[in-house]
Amino acid sequence: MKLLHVFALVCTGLGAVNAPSVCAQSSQELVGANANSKEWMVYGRTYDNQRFSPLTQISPSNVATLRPVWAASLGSLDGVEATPLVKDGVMYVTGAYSHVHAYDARNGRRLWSWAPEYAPELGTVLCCGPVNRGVAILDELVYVLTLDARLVALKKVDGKPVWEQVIDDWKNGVSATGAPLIVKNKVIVGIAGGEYGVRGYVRAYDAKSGKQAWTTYTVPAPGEPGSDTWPGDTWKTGGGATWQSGAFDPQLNLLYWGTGNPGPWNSDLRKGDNKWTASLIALDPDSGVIKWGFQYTPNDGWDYDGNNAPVLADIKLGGKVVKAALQSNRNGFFYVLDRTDGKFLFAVPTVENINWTSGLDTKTGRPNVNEAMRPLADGKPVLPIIPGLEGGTNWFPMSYNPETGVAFVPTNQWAMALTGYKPEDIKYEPGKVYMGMDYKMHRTGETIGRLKAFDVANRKWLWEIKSPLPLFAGVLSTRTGLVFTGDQQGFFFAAEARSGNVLWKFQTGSGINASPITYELDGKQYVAILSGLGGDPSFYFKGPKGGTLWVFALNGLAPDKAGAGSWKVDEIDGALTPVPNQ
Amino acid sequence: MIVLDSASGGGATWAWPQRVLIAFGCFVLFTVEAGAQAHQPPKVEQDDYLWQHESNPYSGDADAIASGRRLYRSTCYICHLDSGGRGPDLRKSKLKEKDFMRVVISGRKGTQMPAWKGKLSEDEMWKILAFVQAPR
Repeated sequence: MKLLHVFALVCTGLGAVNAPSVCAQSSQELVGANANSKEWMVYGRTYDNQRFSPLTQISPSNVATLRPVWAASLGSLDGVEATPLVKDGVMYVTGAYSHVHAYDARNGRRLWSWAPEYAPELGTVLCCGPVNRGVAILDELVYVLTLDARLVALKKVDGKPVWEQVIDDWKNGVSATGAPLIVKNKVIVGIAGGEYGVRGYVRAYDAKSGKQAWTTYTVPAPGEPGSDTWPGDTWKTGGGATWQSGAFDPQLNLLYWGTGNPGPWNSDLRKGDNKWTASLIALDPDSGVIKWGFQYTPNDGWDYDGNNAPVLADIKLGGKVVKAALQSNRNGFFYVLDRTDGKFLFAVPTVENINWTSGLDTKTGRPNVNEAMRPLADGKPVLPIIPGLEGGTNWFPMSYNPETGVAFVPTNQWAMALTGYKPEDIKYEPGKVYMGMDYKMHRTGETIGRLKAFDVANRKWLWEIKSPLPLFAGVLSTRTGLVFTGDQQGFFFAAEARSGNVLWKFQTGSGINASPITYELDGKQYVAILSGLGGDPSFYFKGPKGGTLWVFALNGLAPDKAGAGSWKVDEIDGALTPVPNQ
Repeated sequence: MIVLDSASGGGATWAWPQRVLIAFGCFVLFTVEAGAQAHQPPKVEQDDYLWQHESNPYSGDADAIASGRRLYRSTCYICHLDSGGRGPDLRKSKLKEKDFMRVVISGRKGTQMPAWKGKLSEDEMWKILAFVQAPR
């Protein structure tokens, strides 16, 4: 351990003097990410996904002087949803189509880019746009999932691929959009495809060699635990995709992963609980064995994915500190579970007028379904169902301040109509949509988005910030009492954690659908966010497009650093030859 | 409401899709100038695709429209929804039949519209088009 710290220090020191250096790093460092307040090495900053930074330079009293320091074009008009990672002075970012870019995190000088190539038919299996949520890093490598379901390991130093593994055949509807998660010596990945009748799984690869270590299906085969919750062969196309990242508790040695909707959407065609779809599962990261599961929405018929990774937090409940897992769900509830065994502790609604259920059992958390709001395979529309399938809280990660016990939760207040097709119109074909329903989102008021602050232990909502359009960005909170997130009108903003007062905002040029981070280099604290409309919000409204990475610091860029970020220009051969002699 | 032009009139009335298709490099396209084309057949029409039908054999065919509806649901709907979403409302498309088909076959570069060749047969695409053309 000690040796590692020394090494990390040496690396950082070198980076400060010259160009950023790329240093080795170990999975032990990732476990200790909380103590490393200056870097952002894991998707959720720390394995508990709190997205809370102990950095203190930027505070409510000075945030008004936050200015852009550098920006970078991500080179596409599609949605960007990634969380940047920062390690040893280098920032690793993904844009649309899993393009990976590495920058000098001080000044934006682009170090390298890597772009996978895809078949022109790939879009036929992408339900929700060519999005990607970020990379994972370990030692000398950067790991990224491609849309055509490959795991690629790139060299940190130059972005050259070292190895790649085909996770699955995308032609069967399997894609990948999440950020991989490093646990010990393994890269853990999930897949997308819940709208294409895939059978979900979580898989681990050896981080060095890329050799497959284990695969755990979220939907059990006959004879496996939970298989009695699937009639006939329905498990084969049962969904439960794993399209986001997870959480890891090193003390409990448990890996937590959320699962998606069952397939098809028509719940009456697969009567039973349909485990473990729309659930949180806890796995042994060494073997992949499922230790426990908690199902948010049994026999889901509303596309209420449970993929948003939980926040792990120790919370004082009834005088006792409980190891909890917090999750804000698409089904409209904020869940507090015991993360040691998956026991339900309590839940509160995040939106008003939830009507698919009359409430959750206070002991088990099981919803009492309002059957009138359950669409069936009968061609009859059911509306308005609240919340709509986008949630509640969709994929975007919330933040939790462990020092105040407050969670900052992006939510949306809207409704939907669902019309289930008749059984004869629902046929599974590999690689084709297997939803079995028409859907339509509906407005229920002037505003849709609500960023809410929730005092978890006291079960109290503290404040909310309304937004006319749905909120689809992740959240960052800091020790100094700031909350950062963005909206669909392009504003990246900072609110005071105590009051919800917006203290600063900046127009980024396009809707924000990604998650902010903060880091410190050479004594300066930076805040970074990706901006770029796309993904699900682009189903509902139009706006300026274009992926851009923005980085901010107090008072902007120091004059001596101006121009430091210029990158090497590759001149096109023969395009700018010297004026020929006459 | 039939919003797609019939192919029987010949030439192109809208240059944009052609430019898009030229950008694909997949087809040699109509070269007729806008304005003068209404009664002229296109001078050149060569695709590297061998068409089974020159115009939609299923327009107005109730069975084909029903099956086109099912196909639309399992392919187009997720982006185009009933009246447009991430992709445009196809009923409002001004593309001529074969141009519509070309976009379906090869996709539309620079957008999220993928190539459906290999995934749908030409016959299935015509049925989808028949559904899109049909009054709803």
